[in-house]
Parts: sequence; structure tokens; C-alpha cells
Amino acid sequence: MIETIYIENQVRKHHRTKKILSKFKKKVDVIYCDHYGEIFNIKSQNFRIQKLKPALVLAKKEGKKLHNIPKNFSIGGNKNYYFSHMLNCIYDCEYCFLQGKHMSAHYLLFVNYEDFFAEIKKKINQNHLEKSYFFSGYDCDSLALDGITDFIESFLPIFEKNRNGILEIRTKSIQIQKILKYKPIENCIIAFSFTPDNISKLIENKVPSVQRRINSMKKLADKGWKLGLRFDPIVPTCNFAKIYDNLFKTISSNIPMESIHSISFGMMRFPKKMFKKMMKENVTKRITSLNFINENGIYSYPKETQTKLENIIVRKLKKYMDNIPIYNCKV
Amino acid sequence: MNKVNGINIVVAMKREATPLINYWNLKENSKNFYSNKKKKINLIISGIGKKKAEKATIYIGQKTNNYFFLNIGIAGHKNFKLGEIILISKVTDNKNKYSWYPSLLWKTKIKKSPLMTVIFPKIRYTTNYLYDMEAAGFFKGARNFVGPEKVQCIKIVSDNKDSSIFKISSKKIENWVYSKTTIINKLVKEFLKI
Repeated sequence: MIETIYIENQVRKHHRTKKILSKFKKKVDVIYCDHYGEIFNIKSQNFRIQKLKPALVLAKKEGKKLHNIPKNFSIGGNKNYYFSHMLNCIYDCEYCFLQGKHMSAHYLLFVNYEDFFAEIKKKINQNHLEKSYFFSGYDCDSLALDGITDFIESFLPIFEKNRNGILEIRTKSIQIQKILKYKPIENCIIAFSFTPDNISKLIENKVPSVQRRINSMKKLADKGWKLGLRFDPIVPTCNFAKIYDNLFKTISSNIPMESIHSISFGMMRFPKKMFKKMMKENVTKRITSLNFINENGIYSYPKETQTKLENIIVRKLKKYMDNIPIYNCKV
Repeated sequence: MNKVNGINIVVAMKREATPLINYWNLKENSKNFYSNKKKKINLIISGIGKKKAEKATIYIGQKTNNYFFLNIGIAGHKNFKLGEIILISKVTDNKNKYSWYPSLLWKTKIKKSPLMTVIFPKIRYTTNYLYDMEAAGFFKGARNFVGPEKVQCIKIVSDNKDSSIFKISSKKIENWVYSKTTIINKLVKEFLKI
């Protein structure tokens, strides 16, 4: 529950700031600042302590709003960008790179969506000869705080009018109510991330159960929305093949395959600095017992393990979800 | 999480410190430096002004490892009631406008407010901030040792637009702090949970 909201002075009168504040019926402490960095970027913050009660920070995103996605992370397009209207997440997944990426655990929300829209439209126009893909959900969960951020009702109409842009909304949330109010938009993919249920229960703290996420997917599919399946990260475990087989079987028996736009998967991987910070702050967590090795500055599973896991994943996916494009997010 | 080992409290005046020294049964180790080793509470009387507060905070910080830092004292506000206890949400040094934002993680219903540290006592209250003379120095000193989650500031209102600083007396200060010792103790216990 959010009890403290920091607001940059430059957005204190922004229409979205006012709307967000109006949603907090219970008293919240509002504190004004000159720049979000005064709270978010200062040194020696303790991510784990802050995660106990994160504040909301409302700010203006300056500079570039769109960034190229890493090579090999596409879902079939050549022009791929990610954007982050928000940094940090309400969930607390042990493997989440956000805990090593930012100094703070507070939710930093950039309220100047209109500047994101302008850059997205500009990019679509620049790439008018082919589709441009835009990914949301890299630095936050796209839907988890939608009740506060109004992400869906703000961004969907942009893509409804700009069909040459494909939007992927990546999430582990079941906050799909606002999406269901819209007619399906052909160029929007609601992509759900999964790990098998028993793994999720252990290391994806506060995340809705696999079954509840599948139920949400089903509701979206019934309405005609395109869905994505994201198995990223793949987590090595005992009975790996059986556990993932069960997950794919459950999904495929609940979701009509014609609704699935694409499947992607990837191994756990972290840049060195991020990996060191995460391991330092999570000494008691389960993921620290996994075997990571450093290859060219990226910590991931040993190559032979990766190959073994990839083979199993692809084989099992094809068993239940043949004819759906599968993308391996290889480092 | 690296749990704190105890708490360092910085207070400007003896009159502010006396009720706390008595409440926690603190023993004088050296001049203006008190502690209760069992309760893991240290208290230092810094003297008035941000430079003295910073110096005292650094002194006490160098003597301890991974301690929580708390500044307790009096402050003025345009409208707040005399004797009211406030948890500080932002501290700004009026001279250079630098601000600190203590993390607000606590289960407490205590009112929160931003505070401005000034060099001279404030007679006119031009903003909605509290005004004091030490907090900025205290934060500058304490943040050398720990992060924003472990530095906090509690103020008790000593003057407002209806009752100027000229009406403050030593006895009143002692009474205001005395009347809030239970609440302060409760908050200290909350601070020490992290």
C-alpha cells in the first residue's frame, strides 16, 4: 500500500499528477522535490528495506523515451524498441534484475505520457515501410499498477490509431479489467510471463498464481485479444522437463492456440555489476544457489546447461503448441 | 537485511535532552555524551546550530557501527499547535537549498512535515515548513555513515504565529519533550526493527 508520494515540482500541476492523487482516498503523505533523483538515485539506499514500503515518485521523463531492445530479443520484427513509463515493480521476484539495476525500490512513474506518445508516433512514421515493435514491461510490470497509472487507457488508443506500431504489454498481473473494456486491437499483444507454479510460489513473491494468470489470459482470448507467452527466465530445477511439461500442458489446454501470437523464452542472465549487487543483497535467497558463470561480462548458466534446457523447452513447447513462433532470447 | 546495532540520538540543548536521559536511564560517559549500553541508545548534546549538530553527529557516528541516527528537538511552524510532535519528511538547508528525504517506513500516525534549517531563529513563518537550526547539519553528518532509511528527525513544535520564539522557556521545552517521551520511545522501537 502506497503511503508516501514524492512529486517533482515541475509536474505538481500536471493533469495526470492531479488524477493520480485523486485516486488516493486514504490520506497519503505528499512531499515535493526538485528532481526525482534526489530520492531515487541517491547512494547508500537499501533496496531491501525500501521494498517493505515503497513510495510512489511522480516525475517527468527527460531525454530519450524509446530504446533499442537487445539483439535476439525480438518477436519477429526488425524495428524493436522498449519504453518505460515506470521504473520498479510491486512484485518481488528473486531473479528480478530491477533489484540490481536501481538504487531505490520506490515506484518511479513518469507522468508525461504525451511525450512518449510523440516519440512512438515519430518512430512509426520513420519506419513506415515496416512494422515497429514497442515493448512495455521491461523496467516495471505494465499492468500491476494500472489502477493508479492508467497505462492501458492512455497507451492503447495510441496504437489503435497507429496500426503500423505493434505494442507488447508484458505482465505477470491479472489487472486486465481495463483492457477488457476495449475491443481487441490487432496490433497489441498482451504477453504473460510464467515460471512453473511450484517455482513461482517459491521465488515470485506477491505474483498472482499461475492459474489466475491463465484465467486472465482466457478472458482476454475469449474477447479476441492476441496473447504472448513469455518463459523468461527459465529456471533450472529438479524434474525440470516434467515441471515445464505440466506448465505448457496446462496453458495449452486452457488457452485457444489461435490466440497465441508468439512464445519467447530465455535463460536467467545478468550483467556483472548487477549480478554482484543482487547476490550481495539476497544472500539468503534461493536463486543464489544456482550455478552461474561469467561469460564475457554476463552471468548465466553454463553453456552446456543452457543448451540442455533450451532443447527440452523447445521440444515440450512444440509438443503442445506447434505452429506458434518460438523465439529464444539468447544473450 | 543488515539490522541496526543501536541508535544515536542528537539533541541541541540540555533542556531537550533531560527528559530523554531520565526516561531511558542514560548515563553520562563524557561531557554531553550519554548512553545506555543495554538499550543500545547513545545521546549527544550538540549545542545550537547546524555546524555543531553536524560535528556532534560525526563524533557519535565514528564511535559506533551501523547505528540508526535520530535528531530530536524543537521547531517552529506557522500553524502547528505548541507541543505537537512531528516526524520530518524532508529537510532543506536554507543556505544552499540542498534537501534530504528520510525514508518513511514506519507504522505511525504522527503528523509528517517538511522542515527548513535556518541560521537564525525564524520570527516570520513564510512557508508551510517547520523551522529549526540543526537538522540539516545532523543529516549531512549522519548520511556519511548510513542511508536514508536509517536517519530520521522528530521535532516538537515550540513556536507558531500566535506564540513567538520569545515566549519559549527552558521549562516549557522540558515539559514538551517530557510529554512526548512515550511516543518517542515507541517510534525508536519502530526504528530499531529495521
